[in-house]
Amino acid sequence: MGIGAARSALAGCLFGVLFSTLLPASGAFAELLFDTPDLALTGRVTSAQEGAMEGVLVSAQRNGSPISVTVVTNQAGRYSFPVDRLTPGHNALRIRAIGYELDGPAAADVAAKGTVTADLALRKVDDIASQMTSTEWLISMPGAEQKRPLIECMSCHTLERVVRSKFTADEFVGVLKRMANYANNSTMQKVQARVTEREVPDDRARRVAEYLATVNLSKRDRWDYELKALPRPTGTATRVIITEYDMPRSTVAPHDVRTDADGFIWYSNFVEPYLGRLDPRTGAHAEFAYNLPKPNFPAGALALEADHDGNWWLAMMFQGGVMKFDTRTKTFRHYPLPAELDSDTAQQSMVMPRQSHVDGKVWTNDVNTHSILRLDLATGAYERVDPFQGMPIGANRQHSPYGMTADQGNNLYFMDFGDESVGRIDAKTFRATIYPTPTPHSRPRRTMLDDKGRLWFAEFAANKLGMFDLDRESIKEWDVPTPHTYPYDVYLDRNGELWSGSMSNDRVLRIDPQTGKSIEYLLPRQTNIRRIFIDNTTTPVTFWAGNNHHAAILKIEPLD
Amino acid sequence: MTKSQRASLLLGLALALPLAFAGMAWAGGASLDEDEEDQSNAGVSFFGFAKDLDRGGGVADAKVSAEIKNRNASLVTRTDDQGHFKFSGFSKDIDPKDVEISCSKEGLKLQRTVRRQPPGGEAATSIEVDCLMVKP
Repeated sequence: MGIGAARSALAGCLFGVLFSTLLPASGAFAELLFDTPDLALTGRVTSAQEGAMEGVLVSAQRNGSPISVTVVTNQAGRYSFPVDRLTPGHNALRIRAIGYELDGPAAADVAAKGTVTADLALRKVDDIASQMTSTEWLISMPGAEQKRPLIECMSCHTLERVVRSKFTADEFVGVLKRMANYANNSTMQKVQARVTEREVPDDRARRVAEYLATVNLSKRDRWDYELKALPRPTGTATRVIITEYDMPRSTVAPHDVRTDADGFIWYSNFVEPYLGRLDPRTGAHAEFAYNLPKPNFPAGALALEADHDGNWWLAMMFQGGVMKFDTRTKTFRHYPLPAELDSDTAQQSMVMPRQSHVDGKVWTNDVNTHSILRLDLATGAYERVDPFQGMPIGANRQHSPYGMTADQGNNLYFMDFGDESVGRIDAKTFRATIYPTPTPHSRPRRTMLDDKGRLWFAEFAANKLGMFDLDRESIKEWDVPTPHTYPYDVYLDRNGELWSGSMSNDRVLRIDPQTGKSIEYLLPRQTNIRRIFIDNTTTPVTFWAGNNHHAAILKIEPLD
Repeated sequence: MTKSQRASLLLGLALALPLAFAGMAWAGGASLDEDEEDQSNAGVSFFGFAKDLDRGGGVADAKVSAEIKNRNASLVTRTDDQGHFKFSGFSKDIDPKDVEISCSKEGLKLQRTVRRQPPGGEAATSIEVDCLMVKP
């Protein structure tokens, strides 16, 4: 944080304390405090209905720049861009506040010196449907367990697409069967078909289709259920600066995002054969292309992890195997699956090279066979482990090793995304130990291991965050405050706070596991978050994630 | 890996592969996930209590392990506030006799386990096992 931003943060902090405790309605005091030379752009956001509006996101993007910056209005309706956050020039302004829109286009000519003021008037919208997140649709729709299958839709698109459709139940059966044959690594910008057809049982497709036809527009012009909006941010949830870096093409799908020691941001591209790199200081973007090992199969990689030497590893999804990127030589090396493990449905979604310097082994998975694979770097050979021997697998009960990490002995810890367990594979004996989560069918997804031997993970289907204590071999869970969030990942920062993101609600969660107190930061745009990362080298810590569906990388800097 | 571990791995592969391909409709995040319990491959479940023989009552937060013989695998859970535990996740191909339940808790030791044969004999779907624990 620059000095200007720090001053601004301090001023905001003082303001927050004073305003919330001593001067609960003192707009004049707020005006006084924010009229400082450290601001590039400021203004008040008002509407006829509410007067001054708290929790409105205001985004500024200079003409031609790939970078947009967002701040949030405080209790007095005031928004403030620190001077070091905006580039002088013509900045288009946009807002996010469900139920409202700008009363006409807004822009500000930010000057090299001095503070520009741009007050913004909002008007009510007639229809909030186009502003709703998938979470809000799920909260609004009638039904309970019938909604469950919809959480899968969000991998590729929001639920607005579903509820606006006019498909009858009969038509939906065909749609569902067709969509099951798209690869996991598909987006609306780049749809990829699986090479091998997947069969969805008729009865299952029919059940889902009949429910969907009751919540879409097949029988009516307007939804007959109330559209429920989540509240706008208040208090500490407004104390944040969000920066979005647009990618050069709309097809870029940043999935896993990581920082390196030089301050660059690296990401895996979920649908294209590139490893991407962003310089957040300048917005400069670079791509490192690799040859597709299987040109006729869906392209793209999912997990991105660094090894001990700072080289990047990619899990190659339907391309098979794992790929190493040598950061010194800028070259790739592919480790293909051997013929006996390879197939048209082989799928490596995860890779864990972090402790490979211990024993020369890199862990990965095979989604198709619900198993763990381990690569021997010296020989290129893979070993296969089925950790679920003796546990039921059936039409509706699957196991699927997914998010993974390794301890100092390169023993593997993994999430059973198909079901409800945390698993451990002993690196020397391949012995598997399975720990069911307290909540059944929790579908734990991605994970991180902290330096105190605690494994933190997101329980996707349970709407919870979990912690597995390696020493005690016990699991603790925390509820995510907003229903239907479906957290994808979690990260513990150096202050002991948990961060999480999801594909559904355009919010980033920050929760103190000691007290259970939480903050949800609303994001400026529809944002499909997968892997998250916290940069602990900054003060305060910095949150990073990709917007998988909208070709952007996201930075969140809390001001508290 | 030892010979017996390799053998168990091969056995696991032989058992798992056909099932895996049968269940390919779900493959890592893009299918019609439903929460219905599919019992077609479910075998015997185990449940019971960890009991403190010295003080009486259940032992909360005890570690409970279910070791599956010859599978190089185990399940681990913990008892609830009443000392109760349950393992629901074994498949039909697991012989209940090959599942060994044990408990541990700091400050206590396992004296013995008591397995109650339920009505229904071989056809029983659940088996109760209690861990009887005492001070060391």
